Amino acid sequence: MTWVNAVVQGLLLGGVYALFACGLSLVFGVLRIVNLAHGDLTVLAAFLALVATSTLGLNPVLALVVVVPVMAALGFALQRLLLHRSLRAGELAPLLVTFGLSIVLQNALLQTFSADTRSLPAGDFGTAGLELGGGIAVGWLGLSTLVVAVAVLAGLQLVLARTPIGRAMRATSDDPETAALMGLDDRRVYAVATAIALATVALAGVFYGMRGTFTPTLGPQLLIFAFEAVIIGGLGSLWGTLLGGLVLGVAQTVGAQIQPTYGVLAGHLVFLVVLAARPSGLLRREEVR
Amino acid sequence: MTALLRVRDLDAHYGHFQALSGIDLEVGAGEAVAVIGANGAGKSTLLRAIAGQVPQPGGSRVEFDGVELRGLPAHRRARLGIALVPEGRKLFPSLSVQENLLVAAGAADRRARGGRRWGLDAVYELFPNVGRLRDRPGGALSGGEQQAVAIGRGLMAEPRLLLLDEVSLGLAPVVVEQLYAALGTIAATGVAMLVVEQDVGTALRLAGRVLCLRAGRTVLTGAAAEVTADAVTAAYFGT
Ligand SMILES: Nc1ncnc2c1ncn2[C@@H]1O[C@H](COP(=O)(O)OP(=O)(O)O)[C@@H](O)[C@H]1O
Ligand SMILES: [Mg+2]
Repeated sequence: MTWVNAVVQGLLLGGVYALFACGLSLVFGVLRIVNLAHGDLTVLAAFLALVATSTLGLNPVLALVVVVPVMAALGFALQRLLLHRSLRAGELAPLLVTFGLSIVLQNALLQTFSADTRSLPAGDFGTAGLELGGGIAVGWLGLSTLVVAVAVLAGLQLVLARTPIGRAMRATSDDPETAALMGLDDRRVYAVATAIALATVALAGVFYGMRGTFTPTLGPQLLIFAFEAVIIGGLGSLWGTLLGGLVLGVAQTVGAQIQPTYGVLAGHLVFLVVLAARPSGLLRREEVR
Repeated sequence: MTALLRVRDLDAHYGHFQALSGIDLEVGAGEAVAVIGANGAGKSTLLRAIAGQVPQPGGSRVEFDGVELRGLPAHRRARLGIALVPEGRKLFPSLSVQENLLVAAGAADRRARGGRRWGLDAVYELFPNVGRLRDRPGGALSGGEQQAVAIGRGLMAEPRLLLLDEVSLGLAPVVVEQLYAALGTIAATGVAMLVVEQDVGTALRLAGRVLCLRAGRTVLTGAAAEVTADAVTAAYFGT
C-alpha cells in the first residue's frame, strides 16, 4: 500500500511540475526560445503573491486575481522590450538574455526579500485532505494543483488548435517571415504567447508557494524540474508536458520510497533514461518537415 | 490609368551585395505585368522588396495606392492589400490546408467589412482539389497542390495586388495550365498582378506588359505585343 501511496503522491507532485513546465513548453513551442529565467519568474510570482497576501490580507488563491494579470502584463512587456530584439540576433542571444534576466531577478529578489525561506499561508486548504483508506490520503491542495494543471494544459491545447490566435501562433512558429505576409505581426503574436506563458507561471508560483517553501535563489532548481518535464514529454507538445510532469513526480516519490534521499535523483535518472532511449520525448509527434 | 503600384529608382542590398539597381515600374489597378529574367537576376528580390521583406533604402520609392510604403513592415503591407505568393510556396507545415487559408484571412479583416470577394468557398470553387484536401497537413501535398493552396492563401487576404513568384517552377505542363487558367479567372476580377517567371511565354499568358531583369537592372520593358522573341533573348542573356 505504501507503493500505491507513493504513486498517488507522485501524480499530485507531478501536477505541480506540469504546471511549472507549461509556460516553458509554450514559449519554446511558439518562440523557439529556452527561457532560462523561467524558474526565477516562477519564484517572482510566488513573492508577488506573498506581498499580496501580507499587504492586502488576501489568501493566496485570491491573490491569483492580482498575480496572474501582473505576470501576464510582465510577459507581454518582456517579449516586446527584451526578447524580441534578441530573437533577431541569432540562436544564442535569447539564451544569454534570459540567463542574464535570471541573474538579475535572483539578485533583485535577494535585495528585496532577503535570503529567508518563505511560504504562502494556505491555511486548512494546505493541510486538509481526503482519506481514501489504506493509509492513502489525498491533500486538497495537491489535488487542486493537479486539476488546475490538467485544465490549464487542456485549455492551452484547445486555444492552440481551435482559435485564430492559436493558429497565428502555430503559423508564426513554423515560419515568421511567411506569417508576416499573411498580415500577422510576429511581435504581437509572440507577446501574446509570452503573456499566456507567464500567466501559467503565476499559477505555478502560487501553487508551489502554498505547497512548499521558496527562497529567491530557488529558480534554477525549478527550471531544471520544468525542463525535465518538458523533455520527458517531448519538446513542443503540451500533452507531452503534462505526461512528463506526472512521470517526473512519480519517479521522485517512488525513488524517495526506496530511500528517502533518492527522490530527486530518481527523477534525474528517469529523465536521462528517456533522453537516451527516446530523445524526442514520450509524446513527440513525428516531424512533418 | 492611375498606377496602383509605383516603384521609382528601387535599390536592394543583401549586405554589401547590390541585388537591384534603379528599378522603375508601374502597375495599374487590375493590370498584370510580367517580370522575367534568368536565375539570380533579382526577380524574387523585386517582389520581396515590394512586399516589405527586403529593406528599402532612402532614395527608393515604393508607392501603393498613392501611399509611400517605406518603413512599413511586411504585415502592414499585407493588410493594405499586397499579397506575395512566395517562391517555394512556403505553406505552414503544422497547419491543415484549410488553416493555411484561414490564417491569411485576418489580413483583410478591416478592409473586408463591406463583404468579402474571396472566402473559403470562393477559393474551393476556384481550386476544387484544394477543397478535397482541406484537412491534410500543409506539408503533405504535391507541388501543384501546394501552389494552389499558396495562391488561395494569398487570395484570402483580399489582395489588390498579387505578387506571384515562379508559380510554374518544377510543375508539369498540365498543372501549370490549370494554375494559369485559375490566375486568369483571378485577374478578371480586377486583382492587379506582378507575374515572375523565367519563361517569357508562361508569364505573357496573363501579362500585357513585360519587364526583363538582368543582374538587378532593367534591360527591357515594353508591351507584350511589341517585344520580339529576339529582343527578349538578347535582353535575357545580355548578348
Ligand atoms: N538572402 C540573400 N542573401 C544574399 N544574397 C541573396 C539573397 N537572396 C538573393 N540573393 C542574391 O541576390 C541576387 C538576386 O536573387 P533573386 O532575387 O533571388 O533572383 P531571382 O529570383 O531572379 O532568381 C542573386 O545573385 C542572389 O544570389
Ligand atoms: Mg527567384
